[in-house]
Amino acid sequence: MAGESGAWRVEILESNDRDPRSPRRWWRRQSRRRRLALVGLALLIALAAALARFLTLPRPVPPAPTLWPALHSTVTYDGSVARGQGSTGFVITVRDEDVAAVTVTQIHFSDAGLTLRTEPSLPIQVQPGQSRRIQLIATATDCSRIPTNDELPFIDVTFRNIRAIGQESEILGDRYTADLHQSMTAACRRA
Amino acid sequence: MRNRSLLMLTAIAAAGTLTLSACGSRAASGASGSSSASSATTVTIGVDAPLTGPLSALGLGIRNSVDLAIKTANKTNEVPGITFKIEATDDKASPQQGQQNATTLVADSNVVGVVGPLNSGVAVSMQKIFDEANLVEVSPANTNPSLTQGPSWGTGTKVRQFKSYFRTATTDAIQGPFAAQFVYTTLAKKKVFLVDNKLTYGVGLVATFKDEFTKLGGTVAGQDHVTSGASDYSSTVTAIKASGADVVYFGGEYPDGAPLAKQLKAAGYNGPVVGGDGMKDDTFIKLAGTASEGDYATSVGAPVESLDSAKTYIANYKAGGYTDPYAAYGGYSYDSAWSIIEAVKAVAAANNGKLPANPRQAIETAMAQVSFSGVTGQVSFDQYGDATNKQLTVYGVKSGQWATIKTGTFSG
Repeated sequence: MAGESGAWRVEILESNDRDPRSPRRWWRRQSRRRRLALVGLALLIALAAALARFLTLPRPVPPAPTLWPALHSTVTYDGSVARGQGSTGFVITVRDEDVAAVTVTQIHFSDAGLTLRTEPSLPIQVQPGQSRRIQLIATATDCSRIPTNDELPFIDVTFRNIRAIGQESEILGDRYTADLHQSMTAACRRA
Repeated sequence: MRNRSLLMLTAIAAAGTLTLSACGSRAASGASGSSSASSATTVTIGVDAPLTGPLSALGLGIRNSVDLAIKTANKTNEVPGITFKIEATDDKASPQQGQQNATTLVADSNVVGVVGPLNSGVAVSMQKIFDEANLVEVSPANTNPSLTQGPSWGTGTKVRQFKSYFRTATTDAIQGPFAAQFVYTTLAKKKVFLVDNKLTYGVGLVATFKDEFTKLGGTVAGQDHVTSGASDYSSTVTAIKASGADVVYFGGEYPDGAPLAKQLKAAGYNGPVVGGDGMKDDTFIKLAGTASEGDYATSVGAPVESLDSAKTYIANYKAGGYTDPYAAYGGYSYDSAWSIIEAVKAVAAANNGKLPANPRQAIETAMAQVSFSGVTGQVSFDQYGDATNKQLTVYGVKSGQWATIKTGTFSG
């Protein structure tokens, strides 16, 4: 059985090779230079097709910056710095978690009896994935409007990106609350 | 001959192109929804919420969102070899019914976690039952601080009450003071009349508001307590008008808040009514009508519509064909259910891909380590079982709709 099978296969191959219309026979009839040219041309076409496909592949579109820049920015409290003359510096860090730069355009204290200036001065731009430290310099101007023991003082921060402007109240937590009360107690000469 | 040449060239080029294209193509990475193992284990996530009655608008949003989370987990084969199903129970906003539901859910050994309840007062009646069975419950809506931190949290003595209790909503320890700051500073209202509905949530919220409002320098012109479900608030309205208060702060849910606001405005009172997350539902505006214009409510979290992380959830909720809106707690309910799914996944992964015979204890332990990017942001829990994501939003009724006034984030 095995021998018959082998002879059968060989015969088929010889038969094909003898066929004047066989592609292999046609290929062998071409000159070496022509064969090289044909292979080169085929490769060129294949490369061009692959290049065309590569260039037309759908690219992942980077996410657009959010319409809510405040929600993609984090603000954390780092601590206070004595400034003298009834002023205190509160240091915050603003981090941009969005895909576009965000600008801090305004900051306000929740207490109406405080005035605020910042170092560096606003507006301050924060690049995507980056952080910027800002010192909020508070000066007591109306002690009757500065609470002594409220539990949740905050700062209102206004953010802007290329699509929107948004404000968020940043509740900086117990350490900020304690530092604020301590410094304002001193500034207002409270017991 | 020419035709043969062209044929040969075309064949070579086509083969080359196909080869190179195959190398360059990117396989679709979407999850297949049909890869569940034939020997899949089915576990149940329970839901407890008011599915009927006045608060059903919130309860149905909770149930539907858990249903969506479960369908999503099954579709994406989130926990290989494990299929989730839902068992929703209706507590009718009643502590007694909630207690019965807790007993029923505990008795079903297939239940590996429960999402709910809506009301803090209902939660009080359920916590111990769940805790004794080590059955995890995750509330998307309870805001009373005592539930996690104990009755003395206000004096700084915080003690975790139940190791099985977690929540994705932030607490009134922040919501009340945040509302007080908004009323005193932004609205410049200095004289408040306080009203609560005698229930755990309302009483607690008013207490935290009052504390901060007076510390800021505001005065309390009066305080009253109404019975939840009553329809006539005339005596309270008379007291408010007589007090000279320029703002009313209400601790309770919209079925009580809306008629109070309506009757107040009808009696000629011009100040705003301000409430908490229990008041922030479209039903408040429907019930109070134009009298609700200019009223305010704080609610937990950022507006879901504003979150990039919520876009898929919102789209899937709409596509899911749910007839009721996801409402105030939908995103938090989805995240609550997903936190249980994550815990189940962790337990299975640590046990050669299978759940142990009684997985509740292990799931309860795993919950403390759960951390994932959810609909409402990063979801994880602190040492008390409270959400680490502490965001709040002030909404106001403008032209018959809730409009976002400002958002706040607690980063302390």
